[in-house]
This record gives sequence, C-alpha cells and structure tokens, in this order.
Amino acid sequence: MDTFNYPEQDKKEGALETQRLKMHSKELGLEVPENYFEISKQEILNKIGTEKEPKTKLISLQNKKVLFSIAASIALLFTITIFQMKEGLFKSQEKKVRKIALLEENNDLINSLFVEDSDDFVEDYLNTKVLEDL
Amino acid sequence: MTNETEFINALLSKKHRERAFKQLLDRYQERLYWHIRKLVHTHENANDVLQNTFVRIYRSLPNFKQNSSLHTWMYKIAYNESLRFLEKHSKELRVSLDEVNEKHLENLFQDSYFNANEVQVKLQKVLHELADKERKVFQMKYYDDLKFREIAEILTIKEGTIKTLYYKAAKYVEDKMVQVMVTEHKI
Repeated sequence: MDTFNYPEQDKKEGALETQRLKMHSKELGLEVPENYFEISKQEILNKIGTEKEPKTKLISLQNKKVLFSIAASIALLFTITIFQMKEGLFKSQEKKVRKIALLEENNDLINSLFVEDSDDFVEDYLNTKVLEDL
Repeated sequence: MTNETEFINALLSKKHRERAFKQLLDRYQERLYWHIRKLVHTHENANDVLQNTFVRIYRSLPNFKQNSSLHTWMYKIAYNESLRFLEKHSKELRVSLDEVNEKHLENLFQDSYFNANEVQVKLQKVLHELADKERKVFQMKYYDDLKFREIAEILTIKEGTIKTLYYKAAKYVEDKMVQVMVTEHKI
C-alpha cells in the first residue's frame, strides 16, 4: 500500500464545516492566537516524534498503588492456602474422632453379647421400688 | 477495504505513519480544539488538553478496535482528556466538578482570547444555566455537528435520552435568547 488518503470531504461539506467552526467566535466570542493551529500542529508532531513507536503501557513497579495491589494479592493467596490447609487438618481429625466413636460403639455392642441375660435384676427392682410405692 | 480502514492501516504502518498522522492533524486539530475549548473554557486549558489528546490518540492507535468510526473514537478521547483535566483541577483545588466549571467560566471572562459582546456573554451564561449533561449534548450537536448516535457513544448514554436532552436544552436556550434580544434591542 503506497497511496492512502484520509476519506475526502466534498467542497460543500468542507465549506459548511468552516462556517460552523467560525460560529465559535461569532456566537460565543471564543478566539485563538494568530497561526495557533500551525504552531500547535508542529508542537504535537515534535512530542510524538520523541515517542517514535506508539507505546504499549508498562506498569511501573515503583507505583505505590501497583505495589499495594501486589502485596494484597500475595497476602490473600497466603491466607487462602493456610485456611485450606487448616480446613484439611480439621477434616482429617474429625474423621479420626468419628472412627474411634464408631469403634467404641461397636465394642459396646460386642461386649453386650457376652453379658448373661438375667430376670433377677427386674424382679428385685419390682420388689424394692415399684411395689413399695403402692 | 474502505478508505477509513486503509487510512487506519497507514497510521499503524511504520512507513506511512508520519504522513498519515499529519493528515489526521490537518483534518481534526481544529475540530477537536473547539470541542475541547467548550468543555475547559480558556485557550490555555484547551491547548494543554489538545496536545494531550493527540499524544493519547497516537499511543492508543494500536489498541483501536474499530468498533466505532475513527472520527467518534477521537472525539471520545478528546472528551475523556477534558474530563481528566477538570477532575485533576477539582482534586487540586479540593472542590466539586461543578465548582471547577464555574471557576473556569469566570476565568474565561478574563481570558485574553475571549472577545465577546453583551449578547455573546449572555449566551455563555445561559449555556451554563443548563444541567451539565444538557449543556454537553447541546454543544456537541449544535456546535460540533455530531450525530445523536455519535454523542450517545461518546457520553455512553442511550440515543433516545440524548435526543430528549438536546431538544430540552435547545428550547431553553432559544427562549432565553429571545428574551435577551427583546430586552436588549427592544424588538
């Protein structure tokens, strides 16, 4: 691509635009210094000339906001990791307690199998407590 | 490929960038200057914002997604740069944006590049009686000749709302200025 041009305005459109721009001084009383637009154009081109390539934005690590954000992110990550580790620890401990409880419950059931059933206890209880109350 | 796309490609190519950017300046410098001047009032302020606007346009060209026209995109950058300038002043002076606007308007009346008769001064004051959004919409439509759709994109407000704001503002300005003309010239 060797030729290019900003899309052309037709003459009528261009004249209307010039008239409209003049409305700023005619209606609003706004003015600019002589040759302002030529001088300003050169100043802008000089500024851009020193830039050479359009820049992609670099984030400076010396910026306090950036440093604060990074520090906050690290702290958050650290807290989440610790929390997850603790949560894991609690869960495993809870599992152990449940296992022990289950074992003890099973032991009671097993032990009860070896206790002899006897009617004497019931008879004694009826004699001493229930009959006395009558 | 449209002319505009070709032109944008030229702006992005190493070979053509400088010439294309000069064309862009020729076409838009004055338009954007007036757009900015109405937002920041004095010539000195407008000059600062205009320079920053073109530097930002140049820097942001590689990120231009072409979701809007180049024309609208540049107006939006100019508008945002003006707002940034006003916000910076409001922070420095520790006052609200409305107060900064009032202060800048007072400065305008002292500006050596403000040469207005009584009616023009009155028009400036009437424009500042409008609500902030109404004034911006009125100026963008009436003086910058932007389309309702374009103003909606720049201000990120619905097109229907923009139309309502414009007609309300235009009616207010017209009524007030008729009153001024009747009193001043005893029509």
